[in-house]
Amino acid sequence: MTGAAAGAAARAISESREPAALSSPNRRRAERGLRWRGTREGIHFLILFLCIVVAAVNSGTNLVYLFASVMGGVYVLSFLVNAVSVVGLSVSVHLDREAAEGEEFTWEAVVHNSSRFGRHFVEVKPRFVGAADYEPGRRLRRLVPPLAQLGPYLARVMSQIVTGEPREGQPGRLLYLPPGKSARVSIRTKLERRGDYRLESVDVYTSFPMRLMHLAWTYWPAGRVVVVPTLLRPFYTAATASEIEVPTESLVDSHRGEGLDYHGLREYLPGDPPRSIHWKVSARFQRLVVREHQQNRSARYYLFLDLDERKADSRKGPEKLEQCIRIAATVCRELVAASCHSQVLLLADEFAPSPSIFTASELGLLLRYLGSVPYTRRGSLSGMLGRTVGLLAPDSYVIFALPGATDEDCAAIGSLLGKGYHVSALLTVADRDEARKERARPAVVRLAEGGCHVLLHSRATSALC
Amino acid sequence: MKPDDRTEGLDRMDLWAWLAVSVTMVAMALAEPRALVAFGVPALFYWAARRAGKALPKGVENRVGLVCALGCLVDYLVFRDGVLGFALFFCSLAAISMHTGRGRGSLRQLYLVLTLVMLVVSTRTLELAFLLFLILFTTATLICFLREAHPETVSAGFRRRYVGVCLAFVAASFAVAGPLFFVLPRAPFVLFNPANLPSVTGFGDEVSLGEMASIKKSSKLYMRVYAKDQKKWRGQVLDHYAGRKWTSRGSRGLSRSLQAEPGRPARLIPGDQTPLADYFLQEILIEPYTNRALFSAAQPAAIELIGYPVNHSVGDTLSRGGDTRFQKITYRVWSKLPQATQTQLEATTGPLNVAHSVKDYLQLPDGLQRLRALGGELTRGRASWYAKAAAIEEHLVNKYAYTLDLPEVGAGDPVEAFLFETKRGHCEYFASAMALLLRSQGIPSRVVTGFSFGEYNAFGGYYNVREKDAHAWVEAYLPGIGWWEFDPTASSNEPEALGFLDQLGLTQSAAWLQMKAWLDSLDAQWQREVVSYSADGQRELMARVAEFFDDLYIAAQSRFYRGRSWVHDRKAPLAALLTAVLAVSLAGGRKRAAAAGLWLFELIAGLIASQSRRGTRTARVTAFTRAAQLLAAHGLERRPDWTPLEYARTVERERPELAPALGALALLHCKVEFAGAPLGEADRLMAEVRIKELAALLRGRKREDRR
Repeated sequence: MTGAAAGAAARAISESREPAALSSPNRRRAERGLRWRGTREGIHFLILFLCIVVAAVNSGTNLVYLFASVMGGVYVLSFLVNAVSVVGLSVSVHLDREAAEGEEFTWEAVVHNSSRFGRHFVEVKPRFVGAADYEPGRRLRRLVPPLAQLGPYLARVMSQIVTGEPREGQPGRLLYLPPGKSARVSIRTKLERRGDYRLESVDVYTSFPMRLMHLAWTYWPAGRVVVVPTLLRPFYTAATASEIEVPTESLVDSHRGEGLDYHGLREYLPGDPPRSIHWKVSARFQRLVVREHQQNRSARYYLFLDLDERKADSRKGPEKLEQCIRIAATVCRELVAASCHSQVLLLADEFAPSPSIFTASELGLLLRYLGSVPYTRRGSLSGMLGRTVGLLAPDSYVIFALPGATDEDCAAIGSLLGKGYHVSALLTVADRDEARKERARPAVVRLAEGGCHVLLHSRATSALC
Repeated sequence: MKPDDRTEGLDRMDLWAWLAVSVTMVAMALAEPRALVAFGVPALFYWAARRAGKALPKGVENRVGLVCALGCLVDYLVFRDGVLGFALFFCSLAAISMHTGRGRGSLRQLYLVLTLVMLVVSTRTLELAFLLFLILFTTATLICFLREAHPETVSAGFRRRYVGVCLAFVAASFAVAGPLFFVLPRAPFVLFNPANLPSVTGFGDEVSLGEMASIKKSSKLYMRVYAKDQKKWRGQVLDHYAGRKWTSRGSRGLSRSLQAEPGRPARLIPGDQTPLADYFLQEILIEPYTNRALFSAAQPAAIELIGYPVNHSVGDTLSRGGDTRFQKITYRVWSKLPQATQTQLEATTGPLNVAHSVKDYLQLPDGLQRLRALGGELTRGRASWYAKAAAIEEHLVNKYAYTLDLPEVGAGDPVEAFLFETKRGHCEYFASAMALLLRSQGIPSRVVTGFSFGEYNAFGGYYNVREKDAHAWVEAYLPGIGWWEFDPTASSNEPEALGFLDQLGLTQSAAWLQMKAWLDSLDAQWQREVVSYSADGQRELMARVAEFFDDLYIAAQSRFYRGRSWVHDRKAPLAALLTAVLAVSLAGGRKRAAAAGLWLFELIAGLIASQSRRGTRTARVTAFTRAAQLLAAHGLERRPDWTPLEYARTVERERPELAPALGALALLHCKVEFAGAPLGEADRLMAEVRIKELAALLRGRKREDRR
């Protein structure tokens, strides 16, 4: 693939999955500006303050009043100092990167203090949004439109449940930021789920000096993190790769005259379609010249990925889906590392191939795609394969990564056998018990007996079942 | 504070934690010395165990705490002071927490205990030193909390910086706490009285001869008096002599109870309507004592004591009723000072027509023959009553010696013993002797106990009256004059007891005396503004703030109208100037300047337009409207159906002093509004002057009402 095409593919990946839009309640809350949150110390302090005020009123002693006033003064001043410390900064971030699931990564935010006041104990805490599809509340999402009719309040609540709270990273700390200076804050972040995250906001807060309260102000720098699926362990992937016959040499098969990829110019030969004549060039050379196209048929490996959102409804469904993606990512990594051009095809109602045929140099792009690919709804597998199979080159390797397969799915996969394709099925199971049941299931047995490589995977064992 | 949770006991105490503990304990010990024992015993126990290197068994702190609680219970049973019992227990807890606490939670416990101890201290002291303790405690606690909340500050690079930051923070906290202190609502009632009050003898309804000697040896401050002139501050009037003691009529139920209200002093002279400004004003702050006597210069005419009823006995003795609290008593007294020239005094020669109410002051016990004879001898040949009294006074001053160490007297009358045997005594003896000598000669007289002048502080403009200034003197009734003071006490030659610093000679230097006076004036300010701040003071303060904003509003309104008129009068040149500036700015491409110019242009154009809309009516209409607004704010609202003149007449009935100003404004209004007369510059100026006059009158009335 050319560089321009790779760029276009990258753009397509970027645009294919916009991070979940910030839900309106979150935004409303965030845009309130200065936010106060009590701390345990602060609440104890206030209780003590109230007790002393009560003592002052009861005793009528002015020095008790003075004592209470000083406590009140400390609290009020804490509020003022904290408010001054967090307001009026500027925060800039250069964050556009990938990270692995559950892996801590460090990035930096630059905080600039343009005022004439020094800032003390400023903490910078990011809030990411995205990857909401995997949250437990996603099942409720389907309920939101009807509930929205019940009233905006309920809809907001439900929407918040569905979208999930923004994930907060670990705060970065600045002990002192002098006036007119900038400082880099190192922030460690760990995002547990794969997905395309957008840095929604950065909360700058402080609890100077006695941690009596948290006072936060929200800034809105732009940033993005794509959390890619975790790649499985080498022995596991090696076994998987050997099962699905990953070749050791590169296979490139270019068919000229077909396809859409531009190959070059040649002289007109009889039988060439008139539409292929390049009239401008022909006029320059005073003879007929035609454009020649080619079809790159190197993508011999097709990975069908099933992310049916209905399967996420069960208790272990989301985890199986995620494991399915991890397996797909691992297999694709192995294939691409072996210079096998491979393509991921998402099983969906609308046929959704990956926007690129990934080559060895585009492993990052592949992972990014798998990191941001959403759950979709799909119909029957047989119908989809009927529409898709004609596009596959003969003698291709067809791999199915499914979070479990129904008998119908097994039949659909079995229908590919004997048509010149090398078919493998990577079925994700929840545990060993389920693997045992799957292995004994007639449909799966028939599939294996028909020549399909059936592999059962479980995260619990992280090995082949 | 070290942030490590594993550190234990004293290991986690740093300088600031020690400071917090020390300050609290010193403050508590000054308020109640038994706190040292409560804190010291468990501290010594742990210190000894630590010194011996013995590991104490787990849970020993519970047993130590129990022992301390028992000790505090015993203290309560002995002294009957529950709040103090708790405070002592908190001191013990602080010592235990210091030695056994582990982790951050125990630090908070320690601070909580210290805070409670400081709370008790604040109910036990009224001294300026408490402010110093509070500042130190707040600073130390703040730094400790800062270090606990942000352990990075312990590192060397930040230590110094954050001490400075914390000090600045504490200073700012106190600045914020100031207004808060004055704003926090004061309750008019008191539910518990946290402290036991001291008492002094000599100012009760019954005074035994010689009682005053004990308090005259003490230099403790009794009261501060803010007055223009120094006087004797009279307290108790004693009129009945019964051999060894004096009693007053108040003890026999001859008194009436009065209640002063804020701004309305209670008049002591029936039917007296004299303006209080004609009387001698004293503001007196009495330290917390159980004694109920109130002091004033001679012949009190009115008193303002808020929160307590005042008992006014025959003989102009004042005392307060109500409960005793650990509070300073602050009150104001207006005295009608007796005035007479020497000639008038010498002219008191007529027959002594003693009124019925004065006859009691001639009481003498039986016997006292030698005293009667001495009286006759001393007054022989004296023409006037005053001369007789003066002769007795002079005899006592010159022939007798002053001493606080009273010699033993026999079973006879102590006054006769003083006059004829010992010939030494203190003021009570001198005063008693003179009163009895006067009575023996038919001159009504009484013994008055109180304080002599006190020590003047030039920095604060007040008199410090100490216990050693306690004094007794005599008031004699002179025909045509009334009660007149005589002080027969001889001057004292007794040396004062010298302290350590006195012996070093440091206390006599001018710098020392200046500094002492300055510190004392600070303390007086503290007592007057902070310690004695009351609900009444709060109302006064709020009224002043409201008045300030009222004045500010009037001033701003006046300036606005004046400015609008000024702009209107110069609209042509201003418009030309602004147009030119705008054109130049636009031509020069100075967008900001042009925008600012445009904004100014719009503002001035708006002002001119508003002025023009009102036309020439502006000044008179606004003047009258402003006057109506002012009056409405003071409760004199104009009804919609009233004409300006009707309104002016109505106001005149209510407040005659406002009539000239309002009448002039109403006339001007009618002249220009209804008769179409032109409004000249002089009219406009007059309107401004009248408005100011109205505002000043209303303000003055308000102040007077409050007073």
